[in-house]
Amino acid sequence: MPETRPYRIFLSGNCQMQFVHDGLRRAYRGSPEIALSFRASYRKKRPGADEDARRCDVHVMQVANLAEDPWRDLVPAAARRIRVPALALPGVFHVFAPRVHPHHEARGRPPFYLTRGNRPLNELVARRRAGEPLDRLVAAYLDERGAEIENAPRLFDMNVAAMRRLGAQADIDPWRAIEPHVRARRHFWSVKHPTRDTAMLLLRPVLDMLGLPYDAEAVAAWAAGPEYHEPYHAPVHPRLAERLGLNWAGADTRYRFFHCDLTAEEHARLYIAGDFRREFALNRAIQQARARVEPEAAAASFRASLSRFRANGQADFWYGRVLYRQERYGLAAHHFRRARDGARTTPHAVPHRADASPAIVEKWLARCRKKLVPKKDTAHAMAARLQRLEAEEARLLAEIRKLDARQRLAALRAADAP
Amino acid sequence: MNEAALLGLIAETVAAETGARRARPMTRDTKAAQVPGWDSLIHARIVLALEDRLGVAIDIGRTYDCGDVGGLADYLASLTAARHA
Repeated sequence: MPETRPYRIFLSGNCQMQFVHDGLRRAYRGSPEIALSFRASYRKKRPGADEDARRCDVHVMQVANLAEDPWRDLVPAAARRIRVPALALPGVFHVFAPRVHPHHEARGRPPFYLTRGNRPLNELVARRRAGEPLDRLVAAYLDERGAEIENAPRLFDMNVAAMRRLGAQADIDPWRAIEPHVRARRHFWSVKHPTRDTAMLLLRPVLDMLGLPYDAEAVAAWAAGPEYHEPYHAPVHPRLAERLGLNWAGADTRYRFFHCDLTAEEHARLYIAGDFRREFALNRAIQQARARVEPEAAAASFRASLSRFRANGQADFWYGRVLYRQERYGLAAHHFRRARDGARTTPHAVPHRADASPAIVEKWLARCRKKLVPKKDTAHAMAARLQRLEAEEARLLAEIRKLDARQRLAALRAADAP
Repeated sequence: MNEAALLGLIAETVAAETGARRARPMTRDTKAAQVPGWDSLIHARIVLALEDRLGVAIDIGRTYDCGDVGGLADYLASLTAARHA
C-alpha cells in the first residue's frame, strides 16, 4: 500500500453497490489511509465526477448480464478490479406486483419494471373505471390463472440461469449461497432490492478480497441493522407463490408499504381502486417532515390523515417533528409519546433504517419537555428580570421621593400655620 | 423464417415486453442498451415470449453472448432450422 497517499477504493454500480460502499465505510472508519468513493451507474455523470475513477487503486465494479459499467474505461489499467454481480430476480416473484410510487401520483400507475406482468392488473383498473364493483375485480385478481402463472416456473428457471452465469463471470458468487434457499427464505424485498442478510453476501466477500484490516465489530453491527433499501416491499400473488412453492409468501403475508403493512389483496385493492390520494398525502407529509420543508402544508396533511396513522407510531413521530418546528411543544409531546409507545409495542415487522427508534423518539420528547418548562436561569431571562427589578426600583424611588416631598411640604405648612 | 421477418419479430416482442407504444425498427447492429427499457430484468421476459412465438427452447445464457440483435437473430434462426431439420 502506498504510504504517501491514501489507498483509493472506487465502487460503482446500483443501490446494491451503494450498500457495499456504506458497509466498507464503517469497516474502515478507523483507517484514514483508506479513501472510499462511490458513483451510481444509473445516474448521469457530473463534471468532475470521474476523478475518483481515474485515480483509484481498486475498482469494485458491478457486472450485469446486459449492461456495462460506464466507469470501467476511466479506471487506470494498473488498478485492481473486483467484479461483483448485480443480484436480481427479474420480475418472476413480483409478476403482479402493484407498484405505487410513494409520493408522486403521476408515477404511481405504471410499474417501473413489470410492464407486461401488470397488464392483467391494468385491465382490472380499466374495468373499475367503467363502473364494475371493486370486490368483484379484486376477487378476479386473486383468482388469476393465466399465462403469467403458468409460465412462472420457466421464467424462474431463466432467472436462475441468468444469475448462475453472472456468478461465473464475477469474482464473487453470492448466488450459490442464495439458490438452495430461494424458495424457503425471502432474499429480495422487490425485484432488485435484497434483504440486508442477502446484501451482506456481497459485502463480506468484498472485504475478504480487499484483504485490508477492518473493524469486524463495526461490520457485525452493520449486518445487524434495520433494512437498508426502500421500505416498499413488492407483494407476491398468492397463486404465483403456490405455483413456485415459495414458503415465505401466502395470502396472509404482509408486505411493507412505507408506513403500512398490506397483504397482496390489500395492495391490489388499493391499486385497482386507483385512488392513492390519501396514501400519497400522508407519505408526502412524512417526506416534507424529513426534508424539513413546508411545515404548514405538512402539518395540514398530517391533521387530515390522523385517522390513517398506524399503531407503529412513525407518522406520529414525523408529525411531532413538524409541530416541534412550529413551536407547538405540548401537542408535539403528545405525538412523540404516541410514537414512543408505538415504536416499543407494535413496531414494523420489518424495521427500516428510516424508522425512528424508541430511543430517538425519547430524545425528542425530552426536548419538548425542556421547552415546556418555564425559563429560569438563562442569561436572557436574567437580564429581563433585572430590567424589571430596576424599573420597579426606579418606580419605588420616585414614589419615596414624592412621599418625602409631601411630608416636607406638610411639615413646612404646619410650621407656617398660625 | 427469413432474417427480415426474424428481426421484425424481435422488434415486436421487445416493444411488447418493454411497454413501448410501437415497435421501433431494428437492424443487426442494434444493441439492448440502445433500446429504452431493454435491461437484464426485462430480458428474461423477452426470451420467454420469443420461445412462445417460435416454439423453441432458448438457452438464455447464449442470448447474453450474442452481443447485438443480429447475433440474437442468427441464434434463433439456428434453433428454428434445427427444429425443422
